[in-house]
Amino acid sequence: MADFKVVGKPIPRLDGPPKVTGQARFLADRMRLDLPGAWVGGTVRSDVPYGRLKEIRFDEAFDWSRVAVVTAKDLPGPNFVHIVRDEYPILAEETVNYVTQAVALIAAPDAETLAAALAAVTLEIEPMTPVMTIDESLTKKSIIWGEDNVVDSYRVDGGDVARGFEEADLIVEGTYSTGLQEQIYLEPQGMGAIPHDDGTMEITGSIQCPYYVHNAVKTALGLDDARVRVVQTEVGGGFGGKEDYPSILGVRAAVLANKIKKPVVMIYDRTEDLHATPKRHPARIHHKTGVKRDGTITAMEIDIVMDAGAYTTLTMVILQRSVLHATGCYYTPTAQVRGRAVATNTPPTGAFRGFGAPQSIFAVERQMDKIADLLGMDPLDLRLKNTIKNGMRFPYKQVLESGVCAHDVLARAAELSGYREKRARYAREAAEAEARGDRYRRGIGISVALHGGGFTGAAEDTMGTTTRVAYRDGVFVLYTTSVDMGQGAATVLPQIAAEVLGVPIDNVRHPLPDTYECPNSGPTVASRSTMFIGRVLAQTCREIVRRLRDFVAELDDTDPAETTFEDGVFTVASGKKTSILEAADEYVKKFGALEETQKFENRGKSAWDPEKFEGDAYKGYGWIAVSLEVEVDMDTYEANPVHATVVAEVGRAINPVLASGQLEGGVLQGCGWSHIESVEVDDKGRYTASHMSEYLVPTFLDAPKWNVEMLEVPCEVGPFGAKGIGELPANGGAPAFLSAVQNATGVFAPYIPLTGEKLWMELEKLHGEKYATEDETQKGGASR
Amino acid sequence: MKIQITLNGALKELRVPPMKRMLDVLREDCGLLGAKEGCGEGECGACAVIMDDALVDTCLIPAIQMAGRRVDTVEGLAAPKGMGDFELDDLQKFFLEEGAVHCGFCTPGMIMAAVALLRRNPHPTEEEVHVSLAGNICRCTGYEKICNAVLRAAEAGYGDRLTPGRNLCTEMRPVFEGDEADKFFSPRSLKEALDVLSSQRDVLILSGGTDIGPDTKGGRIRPVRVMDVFSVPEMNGIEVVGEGTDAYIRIGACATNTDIVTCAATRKHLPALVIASSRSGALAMQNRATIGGNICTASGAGDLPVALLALGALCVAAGPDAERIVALDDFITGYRKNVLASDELLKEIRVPMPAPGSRQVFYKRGSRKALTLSRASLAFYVDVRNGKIAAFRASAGSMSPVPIRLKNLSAAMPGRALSESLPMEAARLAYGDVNPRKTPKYRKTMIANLTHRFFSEVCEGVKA
Repeated sequence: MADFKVVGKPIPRLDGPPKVTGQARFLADRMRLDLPGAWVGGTVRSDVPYGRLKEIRFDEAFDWSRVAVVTAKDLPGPNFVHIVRDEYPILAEETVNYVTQAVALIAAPDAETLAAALAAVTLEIEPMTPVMTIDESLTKKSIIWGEDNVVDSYRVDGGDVARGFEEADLIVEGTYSTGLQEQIYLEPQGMGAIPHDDGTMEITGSIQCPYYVHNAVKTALGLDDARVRVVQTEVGGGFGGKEDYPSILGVRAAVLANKIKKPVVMIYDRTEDLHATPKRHPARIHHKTGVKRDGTITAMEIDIVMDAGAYTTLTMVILQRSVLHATGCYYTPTAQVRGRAVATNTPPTGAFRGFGAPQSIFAVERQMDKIADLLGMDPLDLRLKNTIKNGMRFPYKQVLESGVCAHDVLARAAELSGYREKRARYAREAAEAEARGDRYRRGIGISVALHGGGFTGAAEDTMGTTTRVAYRDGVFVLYTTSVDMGQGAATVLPQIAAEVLGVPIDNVRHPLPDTYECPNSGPTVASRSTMFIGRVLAQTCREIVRRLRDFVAELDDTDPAETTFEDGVFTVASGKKTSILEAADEYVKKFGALEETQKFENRGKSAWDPEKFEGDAYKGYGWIAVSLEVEVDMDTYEANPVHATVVAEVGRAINPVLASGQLEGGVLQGCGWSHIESVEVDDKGRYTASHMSEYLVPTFLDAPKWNVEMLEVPCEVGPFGAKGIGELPANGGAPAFLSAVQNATGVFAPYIPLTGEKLWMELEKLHGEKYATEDETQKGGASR
Repeated sequence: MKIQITLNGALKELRVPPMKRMLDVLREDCGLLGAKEGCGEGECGACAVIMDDALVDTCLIPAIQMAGRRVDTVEGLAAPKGMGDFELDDLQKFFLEEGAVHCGFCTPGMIMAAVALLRRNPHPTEEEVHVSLAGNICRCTGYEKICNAVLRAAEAGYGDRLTPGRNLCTEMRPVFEGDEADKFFSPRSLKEALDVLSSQRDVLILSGGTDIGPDTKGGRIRPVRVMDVFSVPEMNGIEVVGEGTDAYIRIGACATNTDIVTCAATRKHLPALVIASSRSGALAMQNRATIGGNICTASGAGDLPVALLALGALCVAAGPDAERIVALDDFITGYRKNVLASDELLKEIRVPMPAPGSRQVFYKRGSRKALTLSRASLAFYVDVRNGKIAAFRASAGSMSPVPIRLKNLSAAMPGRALSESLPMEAARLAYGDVNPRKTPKYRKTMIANLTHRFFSEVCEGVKA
C-alpha cells in the first residue's frame, strides 16, 4: 500500500466530540436554541387511498384566528415539489391518491394548539376504486397513472436469450419478492423555514441533499436562487430516507412560514414518520436462467416489477439501478432484463440505501441458490463458476478491464468464515437434530454482490459536481454539499484534502453545508461522496498546491517546475523550504484571499447511451461477499444472525474504522429486512406499523459478531482509488441470511421478510402439521 | 409544581407542570439538549439518562417523579471547554476511537446506558454489555463497535472510578401549586395514598409510567387526576415471609422488574418470574416497569402475570378499612380491567414458596431478541414426587385479551406419571387450550412446541 499520511488512517470522526458530549445540534436542538418564537407546522392528511376531494371542513367551534392554514388554493407558486418529475403535489387538490397524502397545512404557536386545530379539520372525500397491489395495478383495476399504470419501464438487451436457453441443459425459473423496508433513521424527519426580513427564506433541517431542497423551495415559492438559503443541521441518520422527503417537508414549512412571516418548524413524531414517509420499493422479480450441467450460465431473463406508490418521486432512477444490477455479479452470454414500476394508491416508495439494487441482488442470489440445489452443487461453487471477471461484458455492454473482484471477495469470505466445512456440517447436524428434536440449529449462507458507485449512466458527467476550498487562519475550509448523516463524509473528505495538501487533519475543516457558502457538489446519495466529491475536492486541493507552488517559486524567482512539494513542504530550486501553511499565509497577505473552486471533469467520453439504456452504467463498482451464520429456534421459529463475515473490495478505505462501520451497519439492515422488519399496507391503504414496537429493527441482541475484511484494488475515478461503499453492504445481507436459514432448516424461501410465522408455514409445508386436531384438518387449515 | 433535583451534581429547583415529560423538562427547562426524542414511547433509548443510578427513558417519566432525585445526563460527563473545544472522558474518547459513533443521534443515550452499566458493574462481560444496552437502538452501526468501546473503557478502569454523586436535594417531594393540589398527589405512605383515593374521584394510579407514557402520547388516556405511588414504602420491597409450607415471597406492587431480577429472594425462589422480568422490555423499561403496574394494566401481552399465574400468586388489595386477598386469576377481570374498587390499591403480591425440588420456567417469543412485546409466552410450575406429577400449573400470554391458564393441560397433569409419551400428550393438550385470534395456528404451534420442550426436560431419562 502506498505510503499515506492521513488517508487510510482510522482518524476518529471529526464531528464526534460534539456528538459524544450531547452538544451536536439536530433540528429540534437548533429550534430550541435559535428559534424560540418558531411556530410548529402540522399536516392534514387523507385517510382514503383514492378519491375525489370534495371539501375541507373547518370546525366553526375552533378559533381559526389562532392558527394559519394553507390549502392547495393558497399556494404562492406551482403545486408540485420538484423531484424527478414535477408531479408530486405539495397539497392534494382534486383527488387524493394515497392514505396520508397531505391536503392542508396548519401552523400554530404551540403543539397543543396545533393538535386542536388538526382535530378540527374534516375531509370529505368521495372514494374511488383504489389500486392497492402490484397485481391490481398490472390488471388495471383502476387506471391511476397514464394509460396503463406503468410509471416507468426500462429494458436491457443483452443478446439472444432464445439461443442461450437452447444451449442450456437446464432452465430454472423462480419468482422472488421483497417487502417494504423503513429506514428508521433515529432522528425523525424534520425541517424548519425561517423567513428573513430581506426577503430570503432560510431552510434548515435533517437533509441529505441541500440543493434538492433549494431547488424545490425556490420553485414552490417563485423565488430566485439567492433568496433561498439551505443550511444543514446535524442529520440523525438518512439511509436514503432524507433524499426526497426533506424537499417535500421543506417546501411545506416554507409555504407556512411564507404565509405567516414567522419561522415554522415541522418535526414528525415517529408515528407520523412511519405512516407518511417513503420506504423501500416492494419488488417482485421473475428469473429464468439457462445453465449447463456444470453450472455455466447461458442465459438470464429477468422481469422486475416494483411498487412505486402513488407518485414517481425517485422511482425512475431507483428502477434504473434495479435493472442494471439485475444479473448481480454473474457473467451471462445472453440476457434480457425488463423492469417496470407500477403505480398503486399507497404512499410513494422511495430511496433506501441500495436504491433498487438490494431487491435485484436478493432475487439473483436466491435464484443461484435454487439452481445450485437443482444441480446438486454447493451454492458457493456455482457462484465461483459464474462470477464476472475483468474484461467480461455486463448485459448493458459495459466492460470493466480491471477492478472486478467478485471472485476474490467471495473466495476470501468463504475461507475466512470456514464456509465449506460449516455448510456441510450444519446440513448434517440439522438432520440429526431433526431426529432428536433439538431446539436450536445452525446454518450458514453466502452471498456476493456489487454496487455501482455514483449516479447511474451519464449523470456524474453532467451533474457538474463542484467544490470550493478556502484558506483561513491556518485552516483549509472545505465547502461541499456532502452531508454527514453518520456515514463519515465530514471526516473522510477532510482526510482526502489533508493528504493532498500535506497538512495534518487538524488544519482542515468541513463545516455543515450551507448553500450560501457551498457550491453545488450534488446530493449526498448514490455512494458518491467519497468517490466523486472526494475526487473533485482532491482536484481542488491540487489546484491550491499548484497555485502555491507557483507562488513560492515566483517569490524565489525560480522555475515552478523545479519546485517540489512533499509532506506539505515546497522546496524551490535554491533549496529553500516553505511549508504550505506559511505559503498560504504569505499568499493571503499578498492577494487578500486564497481559495479555489473546481468542477468535475470527465477526462474520457461519457460512454452511456440513455436511449439504448446501455454503456458504462457506473464508473466504479464495489464488491462484497457476506458469509452469515444464523441460529434458528425450532420451537419459536426465531432466526438470529450470530456470525457475519464480510469481505468487501472498496478501492481504498480512506478511513478503515468508518468504512468497516458502514459495512457492518449496512449488512445488519439487510439482516433486519430478512426477518424482523415487516410492514405492509392493509386493506384500507394504511401502513401496518405505527410505532417502533411494531416496526422492529435489530437491537444489540439481534446483531451478529463481525469479521470484516477490506480488499483494496484502487479505482481510477475515486480519490486515492476509493470507491463508493455506503450502499454496497445493503445488497449482501438478505440473501446470505435466507441461505443460512435454508442450511439450518431446509426451507427455501423466495421472499423476505421471512418472519417467524412465515418460517413456520414453510416448515409445515415441508413436514406437515405437528399438532393439528382432526377437527382442524377437516376444516382444511382454515386459519391459514 | 416546584421540585428539587440534583442535576449533574448540582442542586436545581424547577417549576414545571407535574405531567411534563422529563425529556422536555431537561431540554426546555434545564437547557440540556443531549437527550433526544427518537420515538417518545420508550422504544429507542435516545432519550435515556441516569436517575438515581438507574438508566431511564426520559420520554416516559413525568416531572412529578423527578422530585428529589439525582439525575445524570451526558452533559455531566465532560463539558465543552469552549467553542469547538471538548475535553472528553475515556468512555467518550473510546466511543470515537472505536467508531461507535456514526450519526450521533443515539449516542448520548447509548453513552448513558454504558455509564449506568459500568457504575453497577465496572467489568462487564461482552454479553452483559449487549443485554444492558439492548434498549438503545442504533441504526447506523452493527453494534459491535459500541460494545468494543464500552469494554475498552471498562478495561481502562472507567467504571472503577465512577462514584454515585451525593443527593443535594432537601425537599424530596413535589410542591404543588394552585389547583394542582387537587389534581396531583405524591403520597409517601400507604395511608396517605388510600386517603387520596377515598376523597377523590377519577384518580389515575401512576407507578413506573411505562404504560401511561405511551397511552398519554397516543391519546388513549387523558388523566384528570394522577397519584404517583412509585415511592410509597409499603408498596415496595421484596422479602420472604413466614416459614415452612405457609411461607411466601412478598413483592411490593411497585417493585420494578429490575428489583425482581436483582433480588436474591426472587432469584433463588422464583426464577420463572426473574426470566419474565428480564425479558420484558429492555433495561431502561425494566428499571421503571412495576409488577403491580403489569398486573393492573391487565394486558394479554403482559409477561409477569403469566409467570405469576403459574406460580399461584395472590394479590393483596388495600382499601380504606381493610385488606383483601384475591387470587391473580380473579384479580384480572378482563382486558385492561381489574377487580380493584376505586378506593383500593394493589399493595403487594404474595407468591407461595415453591416446593423444594419443584421446577418452573418462563418462555417468551417476541419478534426480536430484546425490547419486544410477546407474541407468545408460557409459564410452567411442576412438582414431581416419586416420578409422578404432584402439583402442576401452566399459563400463557398473548393468546387472548388477558393471560390465561392452560385449563385442560392443568386438569390432566396432576397425578400423571412421567413417561416418554407425556411430552407429546401435554403438547397436544396445550395446543387445544389456547385460541389466539391473530395467526392462531402459528401461535398454538409455538405453545405446543414449548410445552413439549418443557415436558421433555421434566421427563428426561424416563423410560416408557
